[in-house]
Amino acid sequence: MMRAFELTKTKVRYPGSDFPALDDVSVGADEGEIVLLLGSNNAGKSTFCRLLNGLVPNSIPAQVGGKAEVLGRDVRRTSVARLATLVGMVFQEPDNQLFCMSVEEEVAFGPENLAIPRAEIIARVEWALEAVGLSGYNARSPSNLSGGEKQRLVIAAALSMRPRLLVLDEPAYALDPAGRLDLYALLRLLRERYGMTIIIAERDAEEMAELCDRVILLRNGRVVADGPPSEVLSDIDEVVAAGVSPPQIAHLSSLLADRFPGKTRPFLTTDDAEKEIADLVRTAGSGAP
Amino acid sequence: MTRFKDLYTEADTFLHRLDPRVKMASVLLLSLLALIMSALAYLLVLLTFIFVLLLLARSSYRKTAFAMKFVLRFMALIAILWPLFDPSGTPVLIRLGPVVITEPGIWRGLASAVRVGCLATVWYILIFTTSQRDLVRGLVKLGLRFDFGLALAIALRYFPTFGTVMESIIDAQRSRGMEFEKGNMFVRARKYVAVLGPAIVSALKTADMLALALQSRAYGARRNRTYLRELKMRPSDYVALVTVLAMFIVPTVAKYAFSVPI
Amino acid sequence: MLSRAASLRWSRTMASGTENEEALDDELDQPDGAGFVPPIIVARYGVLTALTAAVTFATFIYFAPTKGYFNMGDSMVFFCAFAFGWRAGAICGGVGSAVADVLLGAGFFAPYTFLAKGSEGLVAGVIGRLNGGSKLAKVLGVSAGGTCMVVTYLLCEVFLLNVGWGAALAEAPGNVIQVIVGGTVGTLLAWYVKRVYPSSGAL
Repeated sequence: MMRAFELTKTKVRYPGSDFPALDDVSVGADEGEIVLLLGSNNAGKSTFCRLLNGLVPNSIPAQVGGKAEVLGRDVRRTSVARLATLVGMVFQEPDNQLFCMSVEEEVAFGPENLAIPRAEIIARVEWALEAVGLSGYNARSPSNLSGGEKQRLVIAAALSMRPRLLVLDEPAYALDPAGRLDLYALLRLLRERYGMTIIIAERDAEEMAELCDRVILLRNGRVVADGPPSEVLSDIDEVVAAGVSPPQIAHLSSLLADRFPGKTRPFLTTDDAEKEIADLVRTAGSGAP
Repeated sequence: MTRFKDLYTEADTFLHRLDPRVKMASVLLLSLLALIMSALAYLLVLLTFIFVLLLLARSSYRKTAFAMKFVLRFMALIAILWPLFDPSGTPVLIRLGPVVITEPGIWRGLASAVRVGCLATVWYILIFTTSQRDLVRGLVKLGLRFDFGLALAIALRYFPTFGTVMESIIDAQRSRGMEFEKGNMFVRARKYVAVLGPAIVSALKTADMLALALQSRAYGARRNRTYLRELKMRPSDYVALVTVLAMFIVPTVAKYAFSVPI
Repeated sequence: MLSRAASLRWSRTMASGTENEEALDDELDQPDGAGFVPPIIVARYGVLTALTAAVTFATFIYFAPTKGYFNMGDSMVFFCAFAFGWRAGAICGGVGSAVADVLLGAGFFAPYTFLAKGSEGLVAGVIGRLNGGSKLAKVLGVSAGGTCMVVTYLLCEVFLLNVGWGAALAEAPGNVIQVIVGGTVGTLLAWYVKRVYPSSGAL
C-alpha cells in the first residue's frame, strides 16, 4: 500500500524567521488512517498542513530541507494545482474559503478549474453534496448557511476534486459542540466509505481522541510523540507541556495509572474506562481481608 | 444588515428568465436611445415603457423608492438649473441682469431631467431581475476574462459582509458619542482612520486566506476551464433582442435620415 | 446519509479518474497557473473592490439624508492607489465605486464613475509614488487625481449625459470636498495599514 505522506528529517524555515517552523520532522501515515495533529498555536500545525498540499513552499516561500512526499510525489516538484487533486484542504474559517455565489458553484469550482467535462461535474457536485449531507442546497447562497453547514460545504468543495487525502486545519474552530460531533461523524464516514486518509490539526483533544487512529504531538515545530491516541494522550505531562489540554478521560486514566502502578492499561473511551475501573474494583475487592 | 440587501428580487417573470446578455444589450440600446432622443413627449413615452416593464417584473416598491432617491434629486437639480444656463430661444420669460430664462430652455431642462430618469430606471430592469451570479456569468460569456470575473464575483460576495461590518462599527462609535460630522477636517479624518483602518486590515487578512483557498481548489490549473452552468439563448431571448433592436433602430433612422423631430 | 447509488458513482469516477490522471499531467504541473492572474491578486483586488464599494455605500447611506450626495469612497480609492499602486487604484477604485453606483440604484452613472474614479486612482497611484512616496508626492497625487475625477465627471455629465452645465457644476464643489477629505483619510489609511499589517503586501 502506498504511504499517504512521508516526511523524513523535514525542516521548514520561512524567510526572515529565526526559528524553523518545522524542525527535523520524520513522520508518515498509511492510506486510510485518521491522524490527529496536536499542538498549541505556534507548534507548526498550519505549516505541516500547508506542506502536505504544497502551498509551502510552492506558494508561500519557505526553505524546505529533508524529504517531503505526498502519495509518492515530492511536494517541492509538484504544482499546487496538481496536489489539489490529491489533497483536499479545509482551512479554519469557512467564510474565508467560500467565495462563490451559490452552493453548487462553490462545489463545482475545483472540477471546473481542472477542465472536467460538464456532465461529470454535475455528477460530482451531486455526489459531494450528498456525501456531506447538503443535498438539495444547490442554489442556496453560501453566506446564508449556518456555521456547520458552511464547514460541510467547504469539505464538499474539496471532495469534488476527488482527493485521496483530506487535510483539515482546525476545522472545529468556528463550530458549536453539536456541529463538532456532526463533523467527526462525517469524517469517520468518509474514511469508512471511501478509505480516505484524513489529517486533522487541532489545539485540544477532547472529542477527537476517539475518532483518530494516530496522534502526532507537535511542540515548537518538533514531533514529541507519535502513536495510538491512548498511548500519546495518557502521557499527560508531555501533552500539557506541548500546550494542549488533554481529554478529561485521559486525565483520569493517567491518575489511575499513578495511583495503581502496573494495574491499569491506558483508556480513552468511556467503555474502556468502565472495564478498567470494574477490574480495579474487583481486584481490590478480592484482595481485601 | 437590511440596508445591504441586494436590489435583485427573486420572482419568475419573463424578465427574470431572459438571458442576462440580452438584458445587458437592452439596457445599452435603450440608454443610447434615451441619449439620442430630445423631444420631451417621446422621452416620456420611453419612461412609461420602462415603468411598465418594471411593473411586469414585479419589482418591489421599497427597493424602487430606495434606488430612485438619488436619481430624483438629480432630476430636480437638472430641471431647475438647466434654464439658468440655456438662454437660447424665445419667448423670454425672465431677464435679471445676465440671467435670461426662456420657455424653450425650461422645456429642454425638463426633457433632460426625464432623459436622466430613463437612463437611471432602464438599469433597474437589469438589476432588479438579474441575480449577481447571472450578471457575472453574463459578463464572462460576453468576453470578460475568467480571472477578472472571479475577482468581481469575490467583490460582490464580500460587499455585504464588509458593508455590515462598516455599518456596525459606525453605529458602535456613534453610540459611544463619536460624532463624524463635528470637528475640523483633520479631526474628522482621524476618526475615519480609526474606524476604517482595522476593517481594512481584517479584510486584507481575508484576502490572504482566500488566495490560499483558491489555490487549494486548483485555481488556474488549466487554460480551458469548463463551467457547470452555461448560458443558452432561447427563442424568447432572440425575440426580445430583436424587439429592443427595432426600438432603437427605427427612431434613430427616423431622426437622422428623415429629420423627424424625436 | 449516503445512498448506495452515490457511492457507486464515486467508485466509478475514481476509476475513470486514474486513467486520465497521468495523461493530463503536463499542463497541471506548469507553475505559471496557465497564464491567469496570480491568486493573491485576484483575492486582494476582489476584496479591495468590495471594500471600496462598501465604504461608498455605507457612508452614502449615512450622509444622504442630511448632506446630499457625499461619501467617503474617495478615501478607499486613494488608499488602494497609495498602498497597492496605480493598478489597484485604477481597478479597485474604479470598479468598486462603479459597483456602488449600480447597487445604490444609479447604474447609469457607473460607466462615468468608472472613468472618473479609475483615472483618479491611476493618476494618484503614479504621482503619489514619485520621490519614494514623499509627503509632497502624496499631496500632488491627491490634487492631480482629484482634478482628474472632478473634470471627468463634469465633462461626462455635460457632453455624454447632457444634463446641462447647471447640474454638472452643482455637483463639483461636493466632489472637491470629497477629494480633500478622502485624500487625507486615504493617505493616513495607507500609512496605518503598512504599520499594523506589514505583511499585507502594501508598498
